Amino acid sequence: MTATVVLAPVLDLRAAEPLKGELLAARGQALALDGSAVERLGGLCLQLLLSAIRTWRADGQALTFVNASEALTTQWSAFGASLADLSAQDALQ
Amino acid sequence: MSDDPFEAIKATFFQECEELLADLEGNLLTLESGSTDIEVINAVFRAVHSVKGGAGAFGLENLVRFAHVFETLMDELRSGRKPCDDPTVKTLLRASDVLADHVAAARGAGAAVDPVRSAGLVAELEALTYGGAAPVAAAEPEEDDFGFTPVAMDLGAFDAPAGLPDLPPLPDLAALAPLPDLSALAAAGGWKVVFRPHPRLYASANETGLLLRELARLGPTRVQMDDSGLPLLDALEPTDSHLIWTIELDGDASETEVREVFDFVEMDCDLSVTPLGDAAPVEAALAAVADEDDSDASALARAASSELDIAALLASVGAASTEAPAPVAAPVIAPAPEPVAPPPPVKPAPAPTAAAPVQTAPPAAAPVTIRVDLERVDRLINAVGELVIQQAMLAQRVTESGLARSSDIGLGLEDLELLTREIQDSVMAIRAQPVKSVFQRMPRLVREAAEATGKKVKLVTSGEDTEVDKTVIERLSDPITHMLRNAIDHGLEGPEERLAAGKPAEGTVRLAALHRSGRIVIEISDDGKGINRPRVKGIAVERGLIAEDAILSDDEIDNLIFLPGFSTATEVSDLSGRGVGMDVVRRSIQSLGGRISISSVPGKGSTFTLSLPLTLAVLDGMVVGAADQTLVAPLAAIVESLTPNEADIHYVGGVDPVLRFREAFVPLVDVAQVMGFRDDPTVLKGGVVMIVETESGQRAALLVDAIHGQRQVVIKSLESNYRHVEGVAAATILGDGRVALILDIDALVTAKRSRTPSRSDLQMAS
Repeated sequence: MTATVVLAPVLDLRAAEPLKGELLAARGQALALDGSAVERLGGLCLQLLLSAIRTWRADGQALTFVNASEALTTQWSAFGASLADLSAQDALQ
Repeated sequence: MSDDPFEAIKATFFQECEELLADLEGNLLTLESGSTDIEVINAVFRAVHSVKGGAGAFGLENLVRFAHVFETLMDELRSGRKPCDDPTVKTLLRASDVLADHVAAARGAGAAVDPVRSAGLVAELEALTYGGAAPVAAAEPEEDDFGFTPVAMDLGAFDAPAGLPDLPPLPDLAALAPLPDLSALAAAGGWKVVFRPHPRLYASANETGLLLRELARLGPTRVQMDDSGLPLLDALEPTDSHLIWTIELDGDASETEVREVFDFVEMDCDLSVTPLGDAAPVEAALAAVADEDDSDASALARAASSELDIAALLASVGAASTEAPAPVAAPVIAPAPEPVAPPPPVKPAPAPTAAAPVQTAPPAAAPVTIRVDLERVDRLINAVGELVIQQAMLAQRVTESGLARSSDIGLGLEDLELLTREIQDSVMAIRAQPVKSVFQRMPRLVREAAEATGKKVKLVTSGEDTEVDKTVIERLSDPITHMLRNAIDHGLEGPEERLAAGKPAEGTVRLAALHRSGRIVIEISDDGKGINRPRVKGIAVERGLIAEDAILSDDEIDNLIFLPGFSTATEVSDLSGRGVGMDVVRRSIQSLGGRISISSVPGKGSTFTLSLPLTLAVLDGMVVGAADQTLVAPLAAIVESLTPNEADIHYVGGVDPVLRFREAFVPLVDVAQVMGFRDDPTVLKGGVVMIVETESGQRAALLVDAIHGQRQVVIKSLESNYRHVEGVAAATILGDGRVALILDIDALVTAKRSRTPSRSDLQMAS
């Protein structure tokens, strides 16, 4: 069973705490992150998403991004984060 | 100190600002005097940059905006793209005034900054920065100011991230001022920026993403993110910061531009900016940035840098010491030249061990200082004062008990005295400061006074490093300010009048400080028209200050201007103030235990001389007795002492005694009589005379009953404990616990003189 978390359009300081809650709630199962609405990605939420990728990997569960918006992709790579994390897993889906 | 840590930091910032502004002005004045030293220009740049950086952290927008424009021009000057000529320096000086105004306004200490003046200067600075598009091709520097040789980069090999050009612009940071034309900047060869945000950065609504985008606006960037410190989700606090970014920025942006991006977050992140391809500083930077658990990275960098150094070593001398990398790696500011390319093997002579110190020698090591609450220093000084008194009392007790000076106790006491003296001197030295801090405020005042009066004025200062107690310094500022204004307003003539009198159109006002016989002397002189004596006398008569038929010497006429309520300006000018005359200056100087005198030559100018004690805490004095009273005469004033022969005492006009002393006559002052201890003026036998010299160089003979000896006394203010007494400067507590009055020599001599003003011009007939 795959849980789906829809990422908020603005992933800034204020979005960090709720995002962690949502991610933790989905722990223990495969997770699909819907990035279609994302307009802005901040450093704190980036950390959460990167940590989630690691955590799911450590759990042996699948974590995939679906429908990553152009803004998400662009800003993700501007942070120097690996696009493979976004798209390769996307391809797995 | 405020309890609010933020306020405390802010207070520190403003304190630093004060020092920075003083440095700034000092360096600008050096430039004004014709220096073209790049180090001075750099120092000006750094001062403005530091003010801006701090102001940014506190969100002082107006200050940041102004400092930014200022700094941009300084950047142009230090790179040599714009010439640092006289008109530019003049503008910079005025800009430094406005910058000081902005700081004062931000601090809430000064009035609001005149927006027109500020905007006018912004326009002037920008005109100097961007205007006169005429290319200064010759000034294009081959190296930037870090002595870093640009390394050719293959920019084509780098493919920029596709999405970047589409990013929306970020007006907020960039709108502070137009960015300088990048094409006009010297190629710096790119920068390596290591950036680790602190949680505070995010908490204050800043965003790494925006900073990275801002950097990308300066040139093509390669961004690497280090997420090795990132914990798993359960352990991750959403507001913590675990990522480190390393950004390689190509292109020709200057370091200033790179650092500007981080201006507002400087205190909320670890940041290092180093030239690209410079291994040693990167190692230092990484070491600084690296967390405890990031030791791998720094170890790696260390390995990399030592590899480079080893290559260099092999290429040059081969067998050089392995310690060599240390001095090369230490200073971040002045990296070793081109560690990437090994030095040519044909040049083995300059071993890196020998060359490194020359290349990387830091500028004269700044003395290590701490900031101490003044109150603590005052407490210490008070305690030492009491110690001195106790020590004197103890010594007296020992003497009274009949113990020989050579006894163990006597010798121990002598050591104690030496030690006490040393402690006292050291404590006094803590408070001693150069008068520079006061003098540095004066050029601005002169500029403004010159502007207000339409006169041309040059201020020449000397002796800025003369040291004096901080309490004295603080109270010097107002009198000097007032007297300088006076010199410009009343002393100097207008340009036409000066030219007509055969003088240069520009008037000169000199401000000098020097130590003279244990006091600090401040001289303020101008080359103006001098004191108009007939007019001064006329006004004094008009105001009823002197009798119409009074016969006064030139000196006495000059001194009339110190009388309360005396003002010679036909119209009260804005500059010298209303009703506040030289009498106020004199009173404030006197309250410091100082004196003021004037000498003036018609047509040549006037000189005001302030003489002040170096410290308000201790005094070397001669303890004397007069009519059963113990008094202290300041040692500095005493020339010599003698027992007078009755035959040497004469009476002028049958009343005023004078003493023949070395073939001259000096007025004889019976201290006990002048002080009112006794009425009988004729008790001259058996007394001792001290020949004293007043500040104006005048000599007098003070007659006392006996001289008890020389002693250092701790000054206790009479004004604050009792009230001012004419002829008495202060009081002290003697070894036996009694209070003794410290004589005000000048006042004594003047008091003697002023009683017979109409006779003072009489020639002595002996």
